[in-house]
Amino acid sequence: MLEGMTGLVTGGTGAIGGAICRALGRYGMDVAFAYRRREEEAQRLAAEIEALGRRSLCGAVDGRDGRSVHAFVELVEARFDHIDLLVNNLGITQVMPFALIEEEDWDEMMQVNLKSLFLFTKAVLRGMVRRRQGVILNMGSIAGHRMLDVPVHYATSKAAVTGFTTSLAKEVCRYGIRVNEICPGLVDAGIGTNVSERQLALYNQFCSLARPGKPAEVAELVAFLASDRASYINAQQMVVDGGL
Amino acid sequence: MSCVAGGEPVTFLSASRGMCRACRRMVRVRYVARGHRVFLERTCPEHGVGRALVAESVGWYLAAMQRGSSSRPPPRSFPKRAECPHDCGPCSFHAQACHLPVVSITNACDLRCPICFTYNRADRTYFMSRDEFVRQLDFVIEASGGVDLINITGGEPTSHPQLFDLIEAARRTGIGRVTLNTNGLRLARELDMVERLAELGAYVVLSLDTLDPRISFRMHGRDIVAEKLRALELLDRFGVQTTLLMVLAGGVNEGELGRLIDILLERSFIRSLTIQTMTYTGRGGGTFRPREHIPVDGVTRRVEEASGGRIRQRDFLPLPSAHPLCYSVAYFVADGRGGARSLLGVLDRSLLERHLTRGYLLDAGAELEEALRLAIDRVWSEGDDPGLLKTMKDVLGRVFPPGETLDRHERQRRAEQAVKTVYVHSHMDEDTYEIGRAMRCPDQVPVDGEKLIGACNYNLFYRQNDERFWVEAGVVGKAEVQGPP
Repeated sequence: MLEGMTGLVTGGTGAIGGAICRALGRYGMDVAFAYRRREEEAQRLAAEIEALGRRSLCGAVDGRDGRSVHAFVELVEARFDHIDLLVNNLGITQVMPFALIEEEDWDEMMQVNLKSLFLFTKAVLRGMVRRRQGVILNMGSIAGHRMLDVPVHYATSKAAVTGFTTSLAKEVCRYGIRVNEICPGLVDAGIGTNVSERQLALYNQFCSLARPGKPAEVAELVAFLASDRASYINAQQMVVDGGL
Repeated sequence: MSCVAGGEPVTFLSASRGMCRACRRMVRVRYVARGHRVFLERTCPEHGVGRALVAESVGWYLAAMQRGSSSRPPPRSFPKRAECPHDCGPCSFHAQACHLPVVSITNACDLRCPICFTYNRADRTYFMSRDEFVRQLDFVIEASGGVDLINITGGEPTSHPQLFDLIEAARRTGIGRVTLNTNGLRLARELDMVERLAELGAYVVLSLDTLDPRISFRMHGRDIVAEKLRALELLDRFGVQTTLLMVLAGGVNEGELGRLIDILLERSFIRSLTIQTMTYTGRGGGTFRPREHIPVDGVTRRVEEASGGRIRQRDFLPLPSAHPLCYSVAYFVADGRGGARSLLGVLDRSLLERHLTRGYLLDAGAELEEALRLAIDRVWSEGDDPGLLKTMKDVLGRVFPPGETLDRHERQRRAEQAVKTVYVHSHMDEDTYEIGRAMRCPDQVPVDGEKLIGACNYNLFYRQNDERFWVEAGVVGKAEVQGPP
């Protein structure tokens, strides 16, 4: 489905990020991914992708730093020639009631979840505009759309992903570039494991499938949206929440 | 056909009809390349052969001639009854509609400039009445279907006692913008007049040929530099949108170009610089010396040199609505600090040409907006000109300043301020007159509320017979233009 294509995934060593990299590799894509600290996990993941017969490239990148982002994107473009797909997956959350959110917490959330989104997109989009093609997928969350018991600064950052996605989609559609947002529900890995038992029970109660999702289920949607099979899907918020 | 004469290759380019400077009769003319330069050569059975330079570069000339022109014939014309230009009105042979009506509202002038190329009688003062002016406007709008600009000129139009009434009369549907030619002397004296012009939204076209008192004396008959600077100061104070009009006289004021370009690029109230090549005809110009014709491409070459490369010769394009030997234009985004980036570095040349087919102003419609968006993305994605992106961003910051709310008119004004224009305009005189150029003239003079006559045709053939402006029809004009070829 994705043979001959190249992709860049941010937050590659996270639970959903890793699943996305593997899925893309399985469907035939050469995959580069950025990570921050988990060097060993990154090496393992790169080896897994190469074992699938695909090229892989990983880099330790501070997504808040423009120079770091640009240097990595330039490296990927040099190795892969171009980038067909960007998955803006990098994100953090904190378990924190509003009363405890300090200015530094707020800034850190916006820096990691939003500034990195802007920096990676700016760096990768340039080549896409030049080539008049490309796909950008931004990882949002149902927390940005629904009234849920989630940290306010996290929900704010995810709501912003929607605005970023739709306005960018409008701006670059003239170049044949599609931009969509993926909004997972609760996923039973990574930051999704921070929920309390009470919250998990509530989620299962209101979810039609009565369970959290798996990273691989999110990754399947990413692979589909990255492919030409999704050629008529643009500027959408694609929800993967098991029917909440 | 090429041959070599006197060691210089000579190539015949085309034939047409022009005029003899001595007897002012229509004669055969031809465009000829001699070496790298192009000349208009005329042969008068009585007065022999004459020659005038019309292009410094035969390459530029041929390229300009090959570019598509936008001929938009006048919506209303008269049947052709006599040889051009003797029954102008325009006749059915005229190839261009009126884009800029030029209305002389007086022959009075407080200067006697040696460079003046019009014929103004000194013995009787004429002021156009408001009724007559309105009649002319009615006719212009009816005959042209409406114009972006109207130019009020003279004489010196600020000497007209009802000037403001006339400007108010011109602010009407069918006329986009009122421009007023002036030498600026009265503006320098009368602050109230500048303030009133600002209130009326008139655009001032200020003659400014030099900032050097000695050169001013040669060109204007006296030193008027201080008055010009005072007029500039007041126009700036009241935010009057201003065009600088420089007459470029070969061997006289070429050294002033750089200073005027600096003023254009650095002063926000200056919209454009029109460089008009010296026209060796009329009350002063007919006898002005030295008589060194500078063609359009000669001006653009000098602009590049004088601006230190900020404005390059290749930034200019012939105005599609006029003959290439008559008009060239270049658009820039100014950074407000003396720097300029050509719009041709941003927009496709053919798109710019398409937007100029109906006149002198860029039509800021949806297509241009989309083209600018695409251009920014192209420059960004190709990564070859970060300076240009910075300039564009500065402009956006001025038009949409953070923390400020501007009304639509102020935004439009700021957007216009960001774009600077250099026009090169070459009028014809007896040496350079040629029917093909006259036929494509979009600058037209309304006469008697029933005719629109091409500006050069009018100046060379009709104004001398217009008793409002000249005495002894044709006779004095003829005497003044006599002299060595």
